[in-house]
Amino acid sequence: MISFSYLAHTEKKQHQIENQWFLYFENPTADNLNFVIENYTDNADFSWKLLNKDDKQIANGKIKVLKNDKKTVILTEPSDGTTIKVSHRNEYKSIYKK
Amino acid sequence: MNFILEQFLFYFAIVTVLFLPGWFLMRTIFGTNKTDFSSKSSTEKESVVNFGAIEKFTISFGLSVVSVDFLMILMGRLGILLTRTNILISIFSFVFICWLIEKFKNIHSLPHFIQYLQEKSETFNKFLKQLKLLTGFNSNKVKSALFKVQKKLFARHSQTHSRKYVSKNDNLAQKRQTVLVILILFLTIFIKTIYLQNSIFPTATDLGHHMYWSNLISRTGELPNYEKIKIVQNNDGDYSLSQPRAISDFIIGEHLIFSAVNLISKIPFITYFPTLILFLINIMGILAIFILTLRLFAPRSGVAVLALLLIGPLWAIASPQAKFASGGVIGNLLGNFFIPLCFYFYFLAFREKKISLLIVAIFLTMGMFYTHHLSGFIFLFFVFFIIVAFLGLFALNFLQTKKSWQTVLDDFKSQLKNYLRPSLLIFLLLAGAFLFFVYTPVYLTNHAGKVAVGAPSKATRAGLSFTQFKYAVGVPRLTFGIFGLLLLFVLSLRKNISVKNIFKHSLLIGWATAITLMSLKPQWLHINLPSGRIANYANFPFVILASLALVWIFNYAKTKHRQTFLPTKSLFLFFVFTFTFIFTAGFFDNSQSLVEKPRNQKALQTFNASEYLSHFLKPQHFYNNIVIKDHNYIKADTWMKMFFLQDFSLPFSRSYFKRYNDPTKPREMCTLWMISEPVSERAQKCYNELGVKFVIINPNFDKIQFEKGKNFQKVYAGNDIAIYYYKPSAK
Repeated sequence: MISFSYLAHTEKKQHQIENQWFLYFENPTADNLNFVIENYTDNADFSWKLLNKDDKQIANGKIKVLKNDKKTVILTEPSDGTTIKVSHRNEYKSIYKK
Repeated sequence: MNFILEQFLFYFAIVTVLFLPGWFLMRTIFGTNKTDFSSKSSTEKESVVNFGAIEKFTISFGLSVVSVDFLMILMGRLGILLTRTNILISIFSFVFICWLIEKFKNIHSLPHFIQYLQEKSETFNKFLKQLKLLTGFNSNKVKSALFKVQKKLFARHSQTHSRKYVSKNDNLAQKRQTVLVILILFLTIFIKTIYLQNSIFPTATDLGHHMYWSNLISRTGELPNYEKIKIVQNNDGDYSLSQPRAISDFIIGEHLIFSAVNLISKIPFITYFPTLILFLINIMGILAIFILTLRLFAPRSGVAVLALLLIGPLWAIASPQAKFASGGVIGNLLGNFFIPLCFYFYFLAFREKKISLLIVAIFLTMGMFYTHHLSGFIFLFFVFFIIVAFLGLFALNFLQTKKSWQTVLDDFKSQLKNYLRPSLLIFLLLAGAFLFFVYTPVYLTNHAGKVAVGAPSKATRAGLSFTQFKYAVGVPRLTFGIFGLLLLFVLSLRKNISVKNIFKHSLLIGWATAITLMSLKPQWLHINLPSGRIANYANFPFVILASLALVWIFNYAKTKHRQTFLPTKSLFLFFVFTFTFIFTAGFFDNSQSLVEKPRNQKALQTFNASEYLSHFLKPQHFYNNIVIKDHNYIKADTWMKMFFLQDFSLPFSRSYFKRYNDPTKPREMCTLWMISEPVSERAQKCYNELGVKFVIINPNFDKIQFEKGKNFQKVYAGNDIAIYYYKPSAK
């Protein structure tokens, strides 16, 4: 029983996402560009920019997402050929709807 | 859920599902304290066997697994939803019925039971009085009538119970050995725990496949249809999805206990609980070997303790041990538990000539066939070889002793009389009815057995080399095991050997010979199964044989060394060297299998992406909403289907690359093209005709080809996982 409980507790601890963040559209099939940042890092500062087909910036912004939290950014721009690029510390991730 | 409450529910579920029903069933069949297995006449000396604590523990587990499987199958077939409440009611009803029968047996009959209640319970007496006042029901008249009926029905039973139990001190475990057994078990669990702490997180491919079915049972409350859709191509070259087709790879008994534990405890499947149950099955398999060896070599328990050492802490991790637990190889683990347990009961049934033991053996064998077809199939070979070995050794003995045919025939007839009883016939009829009218395993209706028979279709099925076999079993275990095998054969040639001992020797000789030939020369037996998988079953007989050989050498040296030229010091050095060799090999094997770090972070990304996508997919509705993912570079990818519950095949999978080039098993190519070259014309055809909408890949390996495609929208981004949405071009 001790062994089983120890393993169960160990697995519980391993279920925690560490030092990662995710970027995704609120709805992958809808026409809007609303996106979500899900943060599991200690750093809460994210900056985002919206790029058009020609890679020109249409809009940008900064957002704070606390650790183990997620936030949705609502956008009104048309989704055709638009890329969302989010930077966090020294890395970035992008998603797009062509 | 609070961890303490969760743990409480987990242990409650384990006890309720995996111990309680079997425990009560065992008490019902064999009685409570001292179990009389004898059916000999009172003039003969009675043989009484007591189950030890470890035996009761192991047997109750085996009987529980089979009982709960059959109970849930019956519920499913009767249209009773498999929910927490219904499962608990059925298990506790089963337990109550067992308890009632046991009480009924102990006080001989229903009227005795009424009398018992009248004597013990005032409430019951008050109830009877009220009943008499209201309805004129006279309990005494009914009781006397019932006494008459029971006298006829249970005359024989009452007679047997009127005999006094005779206790023969058959308790095998001496105090020192008990301590040793506890220490070995402690070490075994400790080593396996060290390994599992880094592999407890659910990522294994096989476990993911199995848990899909268990999850489906829990979510729908019904028995699953083991079928899946396939990608098919018609004569015009167009692709489509087939109707769901039956598959034989999975068997109901592998999944029901997990569903029951999940439903009772409400602990999700993507947690520790499936691996911990497999860990428990693994420990039970070890105990099954221990109790079998204990009975085989009773009253000497040294062989069993040594067998426990060779199968427990040594070679504790590599297949088929803890690695199978974390790897989710459910069927093999259950097979490795049921095979020795079945042999245990067949052996006891033969030794004690008791029908109840034989019925339990058949019940467990049936349970095994409802759990794992490979184990069942292999078990049949074992039985065949054991019978051949028995007949061969018996013939040799017959020739040596020059008994008359008549004596042998009379012996055989008297033996047969012990087993040919109405109870066996009734049980076999019930078992047959269950098999044909309640639930037939898919592999029987699919005639999947034919696939396993014939010439090996692949190199991996053509047999292992001796070197591979040697490492599969463990060098010292195989070395001493072969010695044990030869020793048993020589011992079987003695003139004064009893039939019981011939049977015991045949069991081990037949078991070891069968598994060796099946692993090394499957073509001789017309077996077409993966040889590596079969070799996993070889450990157990060779562990017993090796233990026997070592104990025999030790005893021989101890008693004979004064008569030989060997000095005591040399013998001591020999044993030191032997055990150093065994321990080094066993622990080296353990060290090779240890995992340095848990592999959870990549798997967690997979779960996060799956959770996200599951919001946009409806369970069991997949047309034009198909997902494809990569199996090569995504961790724990088989667990994705747990989130979607669309079909066993979904999400479709780009399999290992080598499988697309396997000439023995041509397969569809869409799954390869849709990820490896998604913008190509043939891949686009696959996307459009199959209705594939989402692609899940590891961007570190497969991003480039999707970035080029105009039809692909990247909708989800993680470090090691990305999801693309396929939007067909407007025509």
